[in-house]
Amino acid sequence: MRKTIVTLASALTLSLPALALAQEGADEALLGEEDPSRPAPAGKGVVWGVVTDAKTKEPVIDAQVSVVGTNKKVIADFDGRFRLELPPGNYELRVFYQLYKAQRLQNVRVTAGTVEKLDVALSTEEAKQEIVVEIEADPDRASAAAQTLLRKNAAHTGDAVSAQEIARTPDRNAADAARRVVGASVVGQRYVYVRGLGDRYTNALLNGVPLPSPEPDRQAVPFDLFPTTVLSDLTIIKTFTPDMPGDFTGGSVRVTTRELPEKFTISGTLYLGVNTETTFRDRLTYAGGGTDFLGIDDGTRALPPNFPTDYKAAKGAEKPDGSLVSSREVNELGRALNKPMTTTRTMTLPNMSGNLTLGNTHRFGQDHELGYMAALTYGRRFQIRREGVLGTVTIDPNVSNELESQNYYSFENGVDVVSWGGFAGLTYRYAKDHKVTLLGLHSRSSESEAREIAGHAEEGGAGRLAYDTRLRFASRSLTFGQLAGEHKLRNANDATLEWNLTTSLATSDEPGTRQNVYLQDNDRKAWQSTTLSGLHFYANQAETAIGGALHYTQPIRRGDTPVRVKVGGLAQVRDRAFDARRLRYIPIAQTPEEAAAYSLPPDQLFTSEYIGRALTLDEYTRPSDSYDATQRTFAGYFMTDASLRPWMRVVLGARVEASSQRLDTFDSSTGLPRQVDLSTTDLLPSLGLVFKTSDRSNLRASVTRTVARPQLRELAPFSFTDYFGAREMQGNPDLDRTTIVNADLRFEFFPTLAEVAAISVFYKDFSKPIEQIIIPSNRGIVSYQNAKGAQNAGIELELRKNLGFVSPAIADLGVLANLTLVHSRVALDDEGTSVQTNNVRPLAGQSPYVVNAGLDYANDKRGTRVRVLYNIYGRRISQVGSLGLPDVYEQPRHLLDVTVAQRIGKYVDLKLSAENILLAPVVFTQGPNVENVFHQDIPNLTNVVEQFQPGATFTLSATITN
Amino acid sequence: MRSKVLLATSALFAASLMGCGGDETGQTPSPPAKNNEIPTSISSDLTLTADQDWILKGIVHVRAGATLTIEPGTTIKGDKSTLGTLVIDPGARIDAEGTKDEPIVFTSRAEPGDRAAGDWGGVILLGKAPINVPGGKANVEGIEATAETEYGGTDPADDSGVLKYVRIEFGGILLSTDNEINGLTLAGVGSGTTIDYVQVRYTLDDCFEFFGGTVNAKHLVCTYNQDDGIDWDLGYTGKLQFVVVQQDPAAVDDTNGFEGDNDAMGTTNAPLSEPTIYNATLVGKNVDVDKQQYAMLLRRATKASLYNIVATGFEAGVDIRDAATSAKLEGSIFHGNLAQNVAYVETADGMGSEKDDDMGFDEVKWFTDGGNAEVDPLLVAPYDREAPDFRPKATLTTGAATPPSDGFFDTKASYVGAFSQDDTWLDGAWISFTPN
Repeated sequence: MRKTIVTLASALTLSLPALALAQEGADEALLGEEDPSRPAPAGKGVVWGVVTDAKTKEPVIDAQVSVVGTNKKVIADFDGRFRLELPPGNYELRVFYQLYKAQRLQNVRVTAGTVEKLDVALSTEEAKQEIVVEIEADPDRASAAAQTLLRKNAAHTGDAVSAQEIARTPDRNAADAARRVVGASVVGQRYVYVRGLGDRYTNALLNGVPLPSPEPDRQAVPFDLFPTTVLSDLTIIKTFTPDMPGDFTGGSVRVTTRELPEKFTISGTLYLGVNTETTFRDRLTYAGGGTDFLGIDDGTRALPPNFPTDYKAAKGAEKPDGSLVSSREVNELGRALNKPMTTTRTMTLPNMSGNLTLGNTHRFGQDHELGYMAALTYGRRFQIRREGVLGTVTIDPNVSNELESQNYYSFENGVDVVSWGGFAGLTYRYAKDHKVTLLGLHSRSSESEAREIAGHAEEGGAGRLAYDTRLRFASRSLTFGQLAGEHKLRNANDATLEWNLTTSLATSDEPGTRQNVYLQDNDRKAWQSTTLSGLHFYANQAETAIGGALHYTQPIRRGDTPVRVKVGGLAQVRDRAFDARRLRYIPIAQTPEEAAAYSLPPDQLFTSEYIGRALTLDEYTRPSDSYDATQRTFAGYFMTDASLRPWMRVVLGARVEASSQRLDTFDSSTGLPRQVDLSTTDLLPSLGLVFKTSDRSNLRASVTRTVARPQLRELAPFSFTDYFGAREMQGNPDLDRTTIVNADLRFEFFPTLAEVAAISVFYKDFSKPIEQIIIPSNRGIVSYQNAKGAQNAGIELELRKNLGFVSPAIADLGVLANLTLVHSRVALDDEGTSVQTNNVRPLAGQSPYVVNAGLDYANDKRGTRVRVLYNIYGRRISQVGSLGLPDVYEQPRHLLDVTVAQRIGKYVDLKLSAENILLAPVVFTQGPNVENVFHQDIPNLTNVVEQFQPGATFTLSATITN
Repeated sequence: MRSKVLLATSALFAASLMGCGGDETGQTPSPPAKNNEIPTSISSDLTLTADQDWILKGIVHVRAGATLTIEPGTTIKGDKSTLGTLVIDPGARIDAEGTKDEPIVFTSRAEPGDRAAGDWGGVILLGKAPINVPGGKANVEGIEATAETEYGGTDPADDSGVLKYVRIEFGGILLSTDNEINGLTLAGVGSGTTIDYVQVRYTLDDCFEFFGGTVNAKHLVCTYNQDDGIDWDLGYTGKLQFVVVQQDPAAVDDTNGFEGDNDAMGTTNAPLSEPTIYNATLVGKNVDVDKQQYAMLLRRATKASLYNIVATGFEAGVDIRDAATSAKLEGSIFHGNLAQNVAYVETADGMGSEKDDDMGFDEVKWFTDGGNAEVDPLLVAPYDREAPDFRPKATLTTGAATPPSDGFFDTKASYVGAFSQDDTWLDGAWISFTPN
């Protein structure tokens, strides 16, 4: 098994204040793969040994072995091994680890050239503890034990999943992994909701830096952009401390990239996956481009080369010279733009992906270290949804509360998902006191989708069938570059200074989405020129962010009641540019003979022959389809982290955040430039108390104030349609930001570093929460309102326990379980919301419960690991109901995943994972059951408005590590 | 890539507006800058004179309290790039009173010969008369929803002005996703408004659409559009008389003469849509088409009282859809509707148009019980594109109902159809049947 190296580092872990406690000149021992019993260097003798738990006989990782009376100290490795190289003499060793009783080994005799073995068994028996020596490690964050340790000592309440944990799941990316965190749920396989609060109340940080969003319609970061290969850990922080951005309420999702290795490391993994609904089946697809496999369109879908960019491609549109576009010109453009509107089918191959990770650290002389790490990952997977159901219902509240089916469709799609990424980090370290890291990351994912919908559209009458075809390609990317430094200032009482400069770019591109509709009456099928037919849609967005942050930590007092103060600030400027163009073919047949073309299938109708005779191109891009936006955030903070007693720690401080959001666009009515501004300055105080109720338990309490700002488009006072097929939306320039008071209480107990039991309660009071509303119109316009108020109250339970206490025979078994219960209520202002069905309801997206439960088997000797995981969330509102229609809820899914991993020999790890083996369907429902009135041909029609079966996925992977 | 299409279009447009001091806040009257462009916000009285053609750029609002007067003989040309559309806000008025020979024409900016449906938006009147959306107010999709543009209210006698001898042609641009502009949209418009002698033609959407309101209208002409002739929704309760619809046989979509809803979901929210219509001549495509085409499609819980209607050349005369829909049809003639002259016989397991959509309602019996006839009305040339004559060879008095004497209806029109044999109301320059 690969050895994980734990280093003592003088550099401080900055985001985790409790760990950042200074320590007098410690030495470091690097064990690595080297045999600790290797011969002694000239003139010295060696003492080495293994530190184990006296009861379980398990190695005690990270145990400190210090030489009393010197500053010599080493840390045991993952096998509990330590090695000390000492000049000849008589020594006293002290072996200590948190939760254990420290042991002193006296009269250890060292002679030159000898190697002496000295094993230590640490006991956890209750005893008067010696003076607690603060842990000051910068451990490899990737291990579960390290995460537990970080968490135990942290100033805030948070939950994490480490790379090691992720390796035991089928998870491929950060979004998958987030599902394992207490209170987290993942929406749309991409966005992380914490404690059921939506993306408005979640912020995303990469290595401590807020990330820009590639999404046009939200500020959320799609976490599927981060392959697990580059992750060290994913942490969700649930309570605010002043040293972090204050724009979160549910959680701050922090992705940390991998630390540098201490020795040469190379590792590669290959994955092969099959899905029960997809693999080896015929999949809907369409002609794409030559670089689709890279997640980038090669121009196949782009607008033709000479397509006008300074005027609309529509007859009668004014050109810059004042003349109008003629029919002849627009027909030429229409022929040039024309692309196939039909799907084809192809056999679906298994999912395949792979990654390669490489890293090393070179040492130069006594004090210089240069380390690097690089990772590449590439994956391609397919998805088929067959016999999916889509529907809408109606209600006449004057008659009864019964719903009637309105539209009822079945759908099928085929999706080709490509994702790849590259990560490279370079770290220079000088004399343990200075560390500078340069890292870059690029990640891209694309979806190429072909979709067919067929069914009954009420608009066309009960007996007719509508056929809708959509071809879509969407690509998102994130590029991130960071230069960061950490410095220990020995002249200033070991104060630490951390800084970073970051630049990032998030893009999304949707070139040439096409949609087309045909209607069938009896056996006659003809093109329909509805506004969603004959469409070509183009959109792209780029958001850049540049910024920097500075943190300065000054220890004031040391010992068992340390006191530190921390000050710092952050500046970030984000710029976003969004552009969309909307084009469609409209009918122009002048005679019934010409109109006969509309009865041709799409591959015959959408041809040069009929463009100009039966069809012409039209463009209906609106002024508001283009906008630029800027968001500036400047923040400064001051906080103290003081242990008033050895058992009581107070974290008190405040952050000032000034934010200005500005959006520049054009008024839809007048075409005039239009600008919206929202500038706010907030004082965000935070008080946290940590009581060490025992050496193995903490009681934490905190009261904090956080903020949630409107998303840029929500402020826009014009109508817009965010993405293709979306509902008409209109922002609200009068929106104010939301402030939230959060109160949290947690009791946590750590029987060992591998075991946790915790209970938390929380209460959140929202002032002026921003909620979606429906403005009355013929079909309803989506808008936003500062609701009067909302409250969330919840409880979280977490348990991670080894079953060795039941019987030694099952000591390899462990259970893990967590549960979140939330009660949520929002009250909307009745003003302007007359058509909404429920003005008092849970916050949209809020699940009343989230449960994760799992069983672990790990036998390190045999190299076997098995994990069974179960996940379920309570039903949550996905769409707010209007005009008497109930809210639409996404129904719970019973998700069961199993992973079996086996180490083979020294270098190879095999893993077989099975996801969704209970075949839980995705179901959205609306209100009570619908009586089947008109669709006798579709049995068992209930109140389902969307349903599909994602199938089970089985993935086999092989990892080779040096 | 930064598309310049909008920037350029908007910049040009904005520059021209800035020059004119065209104000967004609408505090001052805004004299047009480029002399012939209509300012985008008209907040005090403004007259468009007949001595020049006017260009309608952007979504032009006449704000509450202001009156837009248009002289007889004035031509207003809608712009394509900026979605040229005229909106009369609630509380504002339009005074567009042309004459038979000096009509007011809203048309395309393109040269004659290159004009087509979809070249610009349309004309939208918003008023304060009741609609049936819960809360009593609603917004027009695609137009910024503000307190000023919310339509609906409690004043059934609301007055949005006068449209007389007006022609609206080549409009119907897509204003927002899935939302084309009708030729003339009347939303929450009250009965104090005068709509008389209005022709809408060559539009991508409906000719006339009523969203609630109580407005009455006479002499409505709808020719060669791509959707329905007269469409009502959201609790429209006005009166119509002398209506002629002539459909485009090349239109691709479902097109109906009348299409009536109570609301999009088919609720029975009050007030229920219940127009009273006398004297209409509805002329279908008169060709076998792949789409549905009814002279009247009444659905989603609407009510209607229809008298003296001639319906010919459709796929079928009528479809009454949804159990909550109920209508009265008297004194009417259906003839020459190609698939089923009156209505399809619908059964639960029927296919296409023959599938039951109204819990077994028998349209044919309903038609017969109403005293309506299936005889040839002998119209002179109803299907002629450029020189139609919708008049009957002999006035159709048999079985005709007499319009009530209520101050609106012309009680002399006790004949079937929009015309007597010697009617001349379609004469004059206000009417055009010329394509392009």
